[in-house]
Amino acid sequence: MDSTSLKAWIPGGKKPWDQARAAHLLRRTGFAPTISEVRQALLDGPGKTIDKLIDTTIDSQRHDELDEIGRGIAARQDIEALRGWWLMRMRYTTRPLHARLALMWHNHFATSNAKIGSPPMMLTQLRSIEKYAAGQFFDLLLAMSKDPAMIVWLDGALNLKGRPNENYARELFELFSLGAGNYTEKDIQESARAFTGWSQKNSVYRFRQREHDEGEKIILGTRGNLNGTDVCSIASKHPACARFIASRLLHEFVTPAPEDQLVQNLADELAKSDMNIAESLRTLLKSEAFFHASAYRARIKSPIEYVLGMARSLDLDVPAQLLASVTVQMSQSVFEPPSVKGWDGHRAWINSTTMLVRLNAAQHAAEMVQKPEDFFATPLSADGTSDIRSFGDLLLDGRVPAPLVQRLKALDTSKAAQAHQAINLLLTSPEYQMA
Amino acid sequence: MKTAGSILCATAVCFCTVPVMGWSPAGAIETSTTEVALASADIEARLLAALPKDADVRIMLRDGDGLIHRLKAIAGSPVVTDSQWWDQITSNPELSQARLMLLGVASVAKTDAWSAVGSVLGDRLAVGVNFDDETGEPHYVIASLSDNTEVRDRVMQQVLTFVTGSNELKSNQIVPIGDAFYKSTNDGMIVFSNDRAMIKKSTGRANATPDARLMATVAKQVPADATIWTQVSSSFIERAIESEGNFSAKANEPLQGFLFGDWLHAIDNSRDGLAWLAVDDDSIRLSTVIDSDMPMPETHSGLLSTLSDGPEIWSGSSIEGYAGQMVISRDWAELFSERESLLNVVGAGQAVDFTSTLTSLLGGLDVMDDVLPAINGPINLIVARQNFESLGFKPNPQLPAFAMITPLDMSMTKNLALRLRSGTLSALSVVSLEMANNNQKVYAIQMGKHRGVDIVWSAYPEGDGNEDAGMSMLGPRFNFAPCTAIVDDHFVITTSIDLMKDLIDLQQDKTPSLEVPSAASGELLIESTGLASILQDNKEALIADEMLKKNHSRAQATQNIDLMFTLLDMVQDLTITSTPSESGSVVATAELRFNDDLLQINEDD
Repeated sequence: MDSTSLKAWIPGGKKPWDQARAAHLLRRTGFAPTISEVRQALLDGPGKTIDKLIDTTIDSQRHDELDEIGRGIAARQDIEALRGWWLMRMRYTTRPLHARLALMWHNHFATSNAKIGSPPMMLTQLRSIEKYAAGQFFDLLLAMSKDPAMIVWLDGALNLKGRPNENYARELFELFSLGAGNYTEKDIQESARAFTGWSQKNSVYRFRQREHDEGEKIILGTRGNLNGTDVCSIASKHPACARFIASRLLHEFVTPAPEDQLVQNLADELAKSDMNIAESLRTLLKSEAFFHASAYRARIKSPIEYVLGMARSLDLDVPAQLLASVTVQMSQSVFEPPSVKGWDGHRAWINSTTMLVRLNAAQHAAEMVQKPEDFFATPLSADGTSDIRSFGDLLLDGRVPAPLVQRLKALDTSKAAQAHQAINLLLTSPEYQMA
Repeated sequence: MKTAGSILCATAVCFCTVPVMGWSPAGAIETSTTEVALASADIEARLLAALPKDADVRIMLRDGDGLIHRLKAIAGSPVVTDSQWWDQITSNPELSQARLMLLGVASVAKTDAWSAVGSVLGDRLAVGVNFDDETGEPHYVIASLSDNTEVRDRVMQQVLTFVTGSNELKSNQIVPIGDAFYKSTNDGMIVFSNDRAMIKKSTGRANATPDARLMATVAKQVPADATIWTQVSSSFIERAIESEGNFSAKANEPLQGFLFGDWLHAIDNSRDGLAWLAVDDDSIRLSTVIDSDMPMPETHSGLLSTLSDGPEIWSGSSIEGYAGQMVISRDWAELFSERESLLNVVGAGQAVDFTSTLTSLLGGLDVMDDVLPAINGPINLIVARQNFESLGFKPNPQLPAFAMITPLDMSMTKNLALRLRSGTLSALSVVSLEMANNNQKVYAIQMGKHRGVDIVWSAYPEGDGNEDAGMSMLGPRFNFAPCTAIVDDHFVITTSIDLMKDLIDLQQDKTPSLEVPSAASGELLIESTGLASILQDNKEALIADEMLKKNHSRAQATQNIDLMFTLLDMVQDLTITSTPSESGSVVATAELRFNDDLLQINEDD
């Protein structure tokens, strides 16, 4: 297997479609699988499982019910409640990959309610992100350029003819589409002119014709009376954009340190599909690179992956707002990313403070498990490979490290208190911190 | 089974027969049928003597049998039986199993299930609870005396035979039942406990020494028609206060200190806590007394008792959508001047800040010197549902409109009415400016008249704000459009122009005023119809909250909210009155009135 190849991975021999690989796929494309989801994936095989993940037509009653109440919650101007609402949707969605994509783009187009001060506008932005998350990147970039929250966030209302404000144009190139080094200061200045007049009123996008600069601009080599839509089109077709987005996707779904060749391979795939995210992801998720050993548990779980993962895997009856408040303590506060660059992720998730919160959260989660002894009905075998019914299988794909096996075996998991301890050991293990 | 002898008890409340001996499953009758008249106080004294002397909490249930029959009436009400949650309860497998067992026991004992339970509860049932200092676990003793020993003994015979498989039990023999223990004493009392040592010590001797002070307090405070009374010991209150950590009679914020200072004072100096419950055909009254060693500071006394001819208290009950009101009687000027003795440093600072801000807003009118001393009656807060249809928008949530009515002696301060009016205009302008600075929609401030009364009001221009996020998502602040007027020497502030007009109509049409007990420092009235209509307006928001905060599906959440509406539907209104006394105690009485004689016992059942 080649860690940079997008060639389809074919299970067999020493690399079968097994529990660990199924769990790896579901963990990366969702928020930690339940036992039944792993079992279903094992039955379906990788191809069908990935196709189902990408399918947007799968219904989820609970998710749809939650969708309906989102507007009312946002109207209350209560960002804490809206945060809980989003986490609850992530937890109960049957379209986990799309929920992951929305969270990824929220980080990519990082916009904070700390400045916006309007949960309804944050919700509007999220709805836009969800609508375009898996489609053509150009549509998403254009939607974000017209998004009222983004306009407030990057001072679109101050971008006027004759007095262009470069904030949005700069971030569009640097953080949203091309990455540093692929444009000039002149490109930013000219793009800012193209976006003049793109404003909002009463939280709705509004084009102020009189404030728009109709003059000729030259942006990334293209000349004309260009406007914001043209800038989005030029940027999304630029070769650097494919590499930039490929890198983003690889960081999110495969590895925090993708090799250049893999980035280029995925960039080519993106370019081939006219920057279609879903189609490129389908290729990526089915690839040798995705199932390569170097990708397995290579990323540190984000707080949301960690907390929602525990809630989902252990089927904890815990209110979403409480889950959300724990993720905030771990420094991932959705709707309020720390800056326009979003969260750094990976190693930045772990420090002495957040690790303590993780340990406390794990202990609480372990203690919330009802009848924990039932989960240990099948004892762990010496090598850690045992039936899926055990927690070791559920939480660590059956690959429980030998020292941990020894510690678990010292506990009498037929007794509730010691079973809780055993779950806590698994949840706080270094392996469980990795996605 | 043979019956034990009984004692006929004559009481001021009821007559009851009490068996001398408990049930004897062996069939032997240990008997002397002596009928002796005992006062209800004597029965309670005997039961109290069976409880631990140092009980943290003592509860006395009077006429348990009667209470069971009232519960039976509730359970038979269509409001309950037609509800979805009742189906859920009755289809619960564990409850069904328990119900079947109870029916079985009752059937063999030749009675019905309700009577079986009622007979065990008896005429008087006392509970004594001690909480473990370390674990907080309760250790209880329950003792009961019944006039219907025949049914009770038959029921217990079946239970004990089922549990122990033996019919060779004797009086005072301790029998384990599940995690608890049972015994019947040789003078007709039955006792349960979860602590073997406690039940062993427990006796129901007729000559037991009653707790004289407690009995005197109960005789003095608890009315004869009370169904339940409970006493909480001072040591338990002290421990509870200690566990709170930094409890202090000095409140940390002004509203808390000024409104509940009497309660904080009583709790801080408490001797005993006593509560009782009285059940009528259509209402439940719950009263609570916190007895204190220290006289109550004058600042906490209600104004009503000192007002010989105070202003009328407006009643909002005829306003459409009326949901309730609160009347607060305080000497506000005195409270503010005594702030350091009632509030901690932070609270006192907040009080000063508050008056300073108001003084600034009122432009030259000193709140401490010019306004507070002019308040010459209780402050009256009225709540009513808002009808947003006339406004052209609906915020989320849809809060009710509020009104604060403050009676003023206009002669106290020169041009008070005029100065309050100009102060209101300044305040609204400042608030509007602040909103504009925060990129929020501002009020359109207007002046006008309603039935000759000058009004200053604010409003969101019609339709404005409807485009928020393109989804008509108007936040909570759109519920508030402040409005003020001076109506008959009352300074009135409302959060909607409609409520202001209603209040002016009310006053000009000479609607009857509200009667509040003269010694009360505060009274709260809640009308369930109005409250239900406000909640109904926000049902979607309540369901959303339930889904988010309790991790429920929509169906579960809807069911819980419907249960709340079902319960509310049973209630007509609730009145809570708080009355401090000079001796230092505080009494609170809550009266819950039900619709349709929900609690009425149907003799035909």
